[in-house]
Amino acid sequence: MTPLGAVWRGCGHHGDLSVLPPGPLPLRREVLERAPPRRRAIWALCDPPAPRECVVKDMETWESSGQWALSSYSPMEKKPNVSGFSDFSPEELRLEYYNCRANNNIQNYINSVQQLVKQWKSQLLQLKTLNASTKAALLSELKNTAAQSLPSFGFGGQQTSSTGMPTFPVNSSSSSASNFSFKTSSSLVSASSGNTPAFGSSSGGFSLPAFGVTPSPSASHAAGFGSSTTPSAASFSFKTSETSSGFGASGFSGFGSSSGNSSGNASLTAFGSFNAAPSHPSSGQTASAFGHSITSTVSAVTNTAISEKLFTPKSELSAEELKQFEGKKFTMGKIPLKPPPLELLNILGF
Amino acid sequence: MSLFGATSGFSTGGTSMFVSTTADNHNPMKDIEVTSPPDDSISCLAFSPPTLPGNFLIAGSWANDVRCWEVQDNGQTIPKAQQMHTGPVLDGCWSDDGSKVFTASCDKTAKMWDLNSNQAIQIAQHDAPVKTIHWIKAPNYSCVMTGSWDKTLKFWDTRSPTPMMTLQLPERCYCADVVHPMAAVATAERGLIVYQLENQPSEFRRIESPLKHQHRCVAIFKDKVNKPTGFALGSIEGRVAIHYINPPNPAKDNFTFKCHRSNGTNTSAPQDIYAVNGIAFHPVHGTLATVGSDGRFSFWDKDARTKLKTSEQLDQPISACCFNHNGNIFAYASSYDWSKGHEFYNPQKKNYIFLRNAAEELKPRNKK
Repeated sequence: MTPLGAVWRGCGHHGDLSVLPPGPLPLRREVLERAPPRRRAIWALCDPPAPRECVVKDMETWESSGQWALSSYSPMEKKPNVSGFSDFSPEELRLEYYNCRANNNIQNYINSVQQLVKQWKSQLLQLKTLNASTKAALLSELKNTAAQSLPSFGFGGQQTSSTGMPTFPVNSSSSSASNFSFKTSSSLVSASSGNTPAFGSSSGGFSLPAFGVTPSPSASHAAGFGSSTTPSAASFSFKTSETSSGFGASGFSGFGSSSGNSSGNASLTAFGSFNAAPSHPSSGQTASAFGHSITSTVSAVTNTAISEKLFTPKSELSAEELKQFEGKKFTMGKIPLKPPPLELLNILGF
Repeated sequence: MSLFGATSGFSTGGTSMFVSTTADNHNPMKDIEVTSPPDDSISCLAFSPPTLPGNFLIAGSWANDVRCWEVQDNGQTIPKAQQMHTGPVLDGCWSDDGSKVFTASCDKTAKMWDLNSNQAIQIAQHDAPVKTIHWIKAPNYSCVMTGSWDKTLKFWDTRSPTPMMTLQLPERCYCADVVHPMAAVATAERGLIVYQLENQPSEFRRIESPLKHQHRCVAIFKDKVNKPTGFALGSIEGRVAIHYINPPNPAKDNFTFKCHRSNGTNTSAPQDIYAVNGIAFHPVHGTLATVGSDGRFSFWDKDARTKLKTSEQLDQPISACCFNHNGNIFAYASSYDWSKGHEFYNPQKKNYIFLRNAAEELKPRNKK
């Protein structure tokens, strides 16, 4: 397996001990309460510095922290999302993996994720290398968009409408990109100053607790709604008269292997319209949240020429090039190779 | 043998019969291990309501199952029963009378599990995996609320295949919480909506996200008179926002704090930032617990704005957590959460659920 850049680190150290008074760690509340405020555990508030620096700093942190890459981003709270970053939760990826695994198609998953990560890195790099003038453009765009108060979040246009499920992309691109990694080596970023004092691990004399009131006999409830065809593992009752002979060894034989009970989706008399056949999520459904996002945003990224100069002054553009930039869309075959002028940068697709 | 990099220098030295004798870091806090844990990652944990005598715990997992244990006063856990979906289970909850368990799954359905008969029936259908499920008990109605990646929030009378109501979400539902009469739902693309549930559910307010990155977990908190008054929202970027719905001074009362980050001793090195996988409020003290991809749990006092405790680091992420109804028990699950992608997924690695006495450690820092 290819190792990821981010290694699961056991740092073995979970607090800034310097804020505590010297000596053994005080575990008693009154000691902490006597301590001056600066010695108490104070949460660092998120108070972003001037927004221009914030974006670059955020990108640097994002790149080096190992945090989840496939996340939306906004440079300040309450601002809309910056386009080019889309949300995919770990669960969505994981489900895709499980589906692909069931179809013996894990490579499909790997390719798609690599494509998403590649797109993320590319967008991150662009934002990281913003100079002062483009940062200003970014900010004004965020202000404009906020004023329009779009109910949808993110204005890159990549959010799909609810019609139909996009197909899982068939990856034919080279995507020979480097190994999939959430973490890239990059410039350093200042560590958080929000460290809190360490509290010692729970004292050695930790005894088994009394968890609460002792159980009293419970009334049995009438059986529920409708019929079920799910075979039960064992008869089951909340009555406390049942004996329990220690963990896992009761008459229920604990839990069977996970392949135990059949699916509960077999014929449900009350729900005739539902598909009775238990459908594995992978069959037929090639879709997921991946599809739409890849196609639209990748094109937005690749359309931009990443050159040393991010913008071309209008004076350096031909009439045809200017016309292309001023138009809503590029015409195939006439796409300028130079970067656009700053003045025309009102679409934040970079 | 863990796939994850270098382990820390902790020694477990566990003498408990629940802990293996090899020096490993799977239970550095020496908490009680729940017996017969699921065979794949645990996505959700929920304790029974106070209407049931005793304590019963349910856990949903990526092995498509939901399991139920009885937790006895001496800490012994007894497997009771389990039910299956045809896809991974993402969320579960109890009815208010403790007779039913509702489960939400990647198979796009939700089920109602009658524990007395051990029968489960489908009660909801979506067009995409169901990510959240909550039981709503209002004075004049009861229903199940499901949130899905199909961008809808649906409300179900469990006797009908048609939802009582469907509300459109701006994006895929990522997490939700219900404390009557408030519901908070966080979606993809940093969406955040609060609903009021009196008479019937309706959208109360769309809130601009106080966080800069993907929303991951949300938990509603209550005020001194036990009314829901705000929520805590966690993101993948090691940060939690405390947000009051109608505070006297929003700029001062609302705040965010960083959590689940590695500080390390070398402060010039970049910090590792981990996702907040779950937030739970102590039902009595009002303090909160967070669990993260870093394999730690932390307890916090949001009013005193202090951290109460951080655990040692487990050798796996902590994927879910919950308190029991009276706050004596804190349960947390040690499972891989996909935070580093598929390469760090080891299907052979055991998953754990731990139980910890929470009565003392979550007392507020300052007496009000």
